[in-house]
Amino acid sequence: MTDGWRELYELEYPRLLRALLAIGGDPDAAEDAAQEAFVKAHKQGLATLDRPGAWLLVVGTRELLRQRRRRRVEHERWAERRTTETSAFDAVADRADLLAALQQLPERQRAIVVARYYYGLSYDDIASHFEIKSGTVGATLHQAIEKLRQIQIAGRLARGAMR
Amino acid sequence: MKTDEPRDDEILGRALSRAIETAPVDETPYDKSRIAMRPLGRGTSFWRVAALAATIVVAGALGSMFLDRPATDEPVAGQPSPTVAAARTPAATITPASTTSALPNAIDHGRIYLSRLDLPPVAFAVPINWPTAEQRIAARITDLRALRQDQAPPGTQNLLWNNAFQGGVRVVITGDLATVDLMLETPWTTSGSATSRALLQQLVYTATEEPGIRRVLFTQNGGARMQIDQVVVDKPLTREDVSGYGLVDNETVTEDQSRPCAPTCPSPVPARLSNNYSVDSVARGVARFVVQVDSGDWQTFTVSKAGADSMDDAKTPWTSKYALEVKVKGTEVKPGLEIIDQSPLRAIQSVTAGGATTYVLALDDQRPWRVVLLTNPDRVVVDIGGDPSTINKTIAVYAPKPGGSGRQFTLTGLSRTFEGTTAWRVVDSARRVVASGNTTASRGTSALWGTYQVSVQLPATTSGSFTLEVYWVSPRDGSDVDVVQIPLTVR
Repeated sequence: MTDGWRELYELEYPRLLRALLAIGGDPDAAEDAAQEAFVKAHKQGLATLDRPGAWLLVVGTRELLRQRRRRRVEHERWAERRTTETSAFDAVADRADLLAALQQLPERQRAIVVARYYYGLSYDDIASHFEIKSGTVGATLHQAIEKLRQIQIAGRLARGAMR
Repeated sequence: MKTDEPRDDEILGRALSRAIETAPVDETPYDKSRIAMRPLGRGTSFWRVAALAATIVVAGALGSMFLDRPATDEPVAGQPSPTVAAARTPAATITPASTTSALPNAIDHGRIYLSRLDLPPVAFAVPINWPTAEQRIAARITDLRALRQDQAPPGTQNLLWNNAFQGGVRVVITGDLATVDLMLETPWTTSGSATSRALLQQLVYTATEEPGIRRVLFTQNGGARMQIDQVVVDKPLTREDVSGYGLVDNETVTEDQSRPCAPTCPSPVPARLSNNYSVDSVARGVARFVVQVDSGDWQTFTVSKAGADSMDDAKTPWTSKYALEVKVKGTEVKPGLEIIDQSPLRAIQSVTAGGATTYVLALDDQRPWRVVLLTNPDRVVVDIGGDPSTINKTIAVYAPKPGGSGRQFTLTGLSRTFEGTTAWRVVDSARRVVASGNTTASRGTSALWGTYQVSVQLPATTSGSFTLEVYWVSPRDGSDVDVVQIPLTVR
């Protein structure tokens, strides 16, 4: 294995794993898809990858969704985690809420939200990589974020009511 | 709600990004990744078989873990795709490593540090529940980044707020050194070198809150030197490197009151001792610890650096990075451990043995300290820290504070100057002396410090910016020694 792969792996794997975990909500599936994305990249060859980070995200996401269609296992893992984190420090509770809320969006929206806000990809990049019309990226994102906001507000109100 | 949607979206997007970045994950190191284990030749059969074998082995070893997992709609071994990761403990079942419900015998490391600009940073409590040290460090830094300025207590600033780095935090630990890489989308924004240093303080204190971590090397964007405005980070830093106090000696202060007497001394009455403390009440940034002699003869006391174990928070759960030991002849009325967790004082432990009591003060870092002996009743007072610009080796000014205003003020503090003579003067911007005087502190040159207090009244005609200087005069050549300068405004 060349050092190029080690460097790429060490640079891109941690955020890919986190992104796939956020999209799918399942650590094992995220790990599997992340590893598979690297294997696919490896088969393609480093030189053929123009922007490996975005490429890995797209391939990893596809892998994750394909796998999920095969297995159809839905876990409420983020919801489980949230119950372990009761705190006056809203940022932490909010974070758990957000990840749980993300799971309530359609799969494709999750991936686009993660690509935009976690990977910082531009609308054009998202459009070309995820093969959607560039005009619909903004609208899809806004719609997704609005939904997240509503779920988050509902969560916060529920938490406030329990205090 | 509809006025600023794109910006609102951006804020929620950033919050989501942070949430993703701080979610606990088990990362597979490169050497165990599938591409590293992949044979150089073609085909996928080897690693698939290898992964399946690994799954079966690990599943056998950790079979009970699978019972804890939510039921799936197919048998565990039915898929060739699961990997070693499939056997990992789900994060939700991990017992919190350090939480706000800390045991009474441990300090709570769920702390991040906020800036006070001219003082060392202060801790702020956050729940930190991740299983590994790397995750906990990353979580503290991410929590710091996420803490809004309006959530920060009065008098503190979070200079990381609005300095949102999006790409994440990566932590590698080697011994007592943590290497922390932050992915910065844009350079840090600070206003001037003071805030750059204060931001670095926040980062260093927060990262080294992890037990066993004494030094941290911050890098950015995958290993590049971190640059905060003009401040370049090119080496691992300890808390002492950034605290603002400079080098501090490991002093030992001893006082012995037992005197020779003839023909025989009357046997001393064993002392009964009690203790208390305060933080930020004597002066800004000063932690004061007091041992009071309620009755009897205390005879001797010693203040020094505590033993190595008390400075190893990985070994001793109620300590932090530094500790002072105060040993007084006598019996403490309420021995035991008290968890304080107010920067920089984390805990006080007192143990009486062999007629003497040893108090160990667990501290966040090594900062200057001063011992004063007050009388009636006898009290051994240890003052730790203070505004770095107002203290040096022989003079500490507790009031007025820098930037203070008013024509009339009380000048007070500690000194250990030649014959106790402590001089002061107020000068204007052209260095003309507006008022001056001398005062005699309760002690002169010694390991112990004395107290002084002066009422200062400036002439009614003065107004504008002035500097109060407190110093002493060298008996050798008449020069000013150890000058503390305090800017004042008079309106």
